[in-house]
Amino acid sequence: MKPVWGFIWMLIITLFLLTAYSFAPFTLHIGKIEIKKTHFAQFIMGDTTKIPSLAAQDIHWQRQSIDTTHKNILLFGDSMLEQLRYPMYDYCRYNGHKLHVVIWYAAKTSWVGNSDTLAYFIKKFKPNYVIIVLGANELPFKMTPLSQSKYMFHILKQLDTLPFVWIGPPNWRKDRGINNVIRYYVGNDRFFPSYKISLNNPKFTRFQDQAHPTYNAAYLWMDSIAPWIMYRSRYPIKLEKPPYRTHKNPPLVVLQPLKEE
Amino acid sequence: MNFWHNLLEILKYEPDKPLLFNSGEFFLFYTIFIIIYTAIYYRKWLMSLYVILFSFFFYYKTSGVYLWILIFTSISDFTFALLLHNAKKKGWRIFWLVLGIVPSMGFLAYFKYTNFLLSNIYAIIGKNFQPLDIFLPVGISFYTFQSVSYIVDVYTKKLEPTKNLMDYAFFLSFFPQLVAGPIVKAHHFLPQLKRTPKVSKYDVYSGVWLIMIGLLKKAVVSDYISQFNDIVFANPLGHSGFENLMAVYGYTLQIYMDFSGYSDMAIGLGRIMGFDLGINFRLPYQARNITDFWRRWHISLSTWLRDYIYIPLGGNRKGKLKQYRNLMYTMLFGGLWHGADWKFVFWGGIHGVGLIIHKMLKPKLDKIPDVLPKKFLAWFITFHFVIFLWIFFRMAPINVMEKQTITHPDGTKEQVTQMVHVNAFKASWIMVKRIVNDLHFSEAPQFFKNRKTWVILVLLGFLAHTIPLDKYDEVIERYVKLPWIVKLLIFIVVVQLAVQFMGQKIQPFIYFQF
Repeated sequence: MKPVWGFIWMLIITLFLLTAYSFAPFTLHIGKIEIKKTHFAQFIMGDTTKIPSLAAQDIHWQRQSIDTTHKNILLFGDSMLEQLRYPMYDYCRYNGHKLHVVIWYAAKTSWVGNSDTLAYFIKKFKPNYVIIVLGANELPFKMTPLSQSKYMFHILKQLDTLPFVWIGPPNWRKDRGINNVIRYYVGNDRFFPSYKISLNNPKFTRFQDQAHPTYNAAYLWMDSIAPWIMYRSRYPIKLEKPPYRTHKNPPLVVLQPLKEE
Repeated sequence: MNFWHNLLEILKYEPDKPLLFNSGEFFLFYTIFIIIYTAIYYRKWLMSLYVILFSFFFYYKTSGVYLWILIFTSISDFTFALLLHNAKKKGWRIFWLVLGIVPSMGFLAYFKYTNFLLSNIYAIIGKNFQPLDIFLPVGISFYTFQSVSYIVDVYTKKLEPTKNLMDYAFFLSFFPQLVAGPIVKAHHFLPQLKRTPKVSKYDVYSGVWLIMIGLLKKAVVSDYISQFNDIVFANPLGHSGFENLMAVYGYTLQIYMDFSGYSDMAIGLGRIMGFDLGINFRLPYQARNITDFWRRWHISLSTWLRDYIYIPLGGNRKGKLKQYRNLMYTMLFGGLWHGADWKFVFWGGIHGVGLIIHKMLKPKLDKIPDVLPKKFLAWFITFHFVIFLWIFFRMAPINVMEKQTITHPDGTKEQVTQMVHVNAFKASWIMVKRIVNDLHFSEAPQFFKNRKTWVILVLLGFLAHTIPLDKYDEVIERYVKLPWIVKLLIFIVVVQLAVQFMGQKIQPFIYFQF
């Protein structure tokens, strides 16, 4: 086994060099290419980056009473809206709200947080209440508040001071952090944890793709969202349950998936 | 201190953080592991215990508490193999054979195929199905096949069962090949445990070479090119026919680089420790017929299927028609092994059809002189047959927009653009049609300009694939003969390249899901 020691020294020296470089206060370049660092320094010293979030800033907030005025609502999100828009439209019409729906197929927080698309539709429809439904396309990806900070800050920046709530993804599998990321930034009272009703719930049926809820499931989903918005969210508005299901189409804008490399 | 806190944290099981060969955590753990291994390798029982515990830890990091399946399978295989060996009457031998196979195959059936079976039953009775939350332990398909090979080898008296439980647990759980192969057969591996591991300079540095090549294949080429491929496969209609075609070529290279890269690393790690895991790939895209392809692609699986399915079914011993039937059964089984989905059955079945057609035409094809045009045409047809089937293998259900007329409950009709969910099979045909109907080679210059790195990596990947196998051996020998310091520099450059190309998250290996 003597020759193995030569290999062991290779491992030790490489490990030492990668670690030392990760601690270096400078970054090396070859031409225009930056020589990337590993996360070894972060591993040894710990992650000391402090990330502010709305949740952290909102400790002095007090719950408001239900706002019964008619709202101009923008419902913005991914393909989960394909089904949710029908019950949402029924609820809005019954309670006197106006609804605009923007579906961005395959949308991720990184797309919305890397563009001004949300701001564009806010400018276009001038809503006074925004409901976001995003995250389903990021369930399998490992995410932390740190890794998503850039995107989440830009989404919140686009929303500015508008009252909004974020409907979390209706998980069909355990997520790898997206729910925590959203909750971290927007706080419990702006975040509806859809996974609590979608995961392992035989009534929450799905289409053949095993991901998108059926229309029945979408109504079940909305029946949970509405009381949460009305009684438990930070911006409670009137959303009484309508006695009918019309399946009528709300005004709709469809955005095709982004091409990205 | 943060370091100790983080160190304790990475000892814990996290579903999204398996110990991947191309991760920093594995680098750290393996460095510590190999130092201790080298110090104790000559005390056989201590070395075995140490490697088993490390392998269990490695598996715990990928599948958590499901480690118990591996431990249970080790004990039950060991026990039933001994009972089978000691039984004299045929009836008892069959009884112990069945009891030996049932636990491991039962676990595989439950964890991998329950939802598939139920979803089909629900589809037949026309009800919506909510999949059960069943965790698929990583690598279960691989070690189950190893387990079956052991019991069957003992039954056919090809192998004496080991009388040492530690030896068997070592074989079944050996971490380099535990979660994604190669599927090492017991009669190949267990005899290696009877001697003290010995490694030469060639073994160590050819092993290092394989690790480096595997790392380059996986972390640099496969992970990078997968980004574009994934986007196109998720939305074939959102891309041109040319982009679709490029994504199919890209995926063809990606799956080879990903899987063979893992195998290279596994074989290299094993070789450095003094164990031979065989070979798993021999430049499969050089094959000039589909039979040859299966002799070059995932060799450990195809030989397993040959030894434990095809030959027991009768192989080619009972006439042509039965040979074709046996081939088809074997390939359907092989397809289903890859995943609980009809698309894999279809993929395996069409490969079976390809094998049958080749067997039928072989006598006539052999009469044609082996000249360059024949060689090229044979390669071209085989390569594109394989590529065509990768589309079905890779594709997942997608959403497409279609104009539809819907009727509201009040009877009014409306034309709307509706999202339609299509299954993987239909989605594959959408991609094929997109390539056939919308292929404009005039897009090539713009495509190459926009995706320079992707194009360069794909071209280099395929170019490396054209090099004859014996040239690879020459390169390895040259590397082994280099001064140590040069070998070190090359190693550092390769590791840094992997860091350079690494995304925000480390991509799991494609074959982990199987």
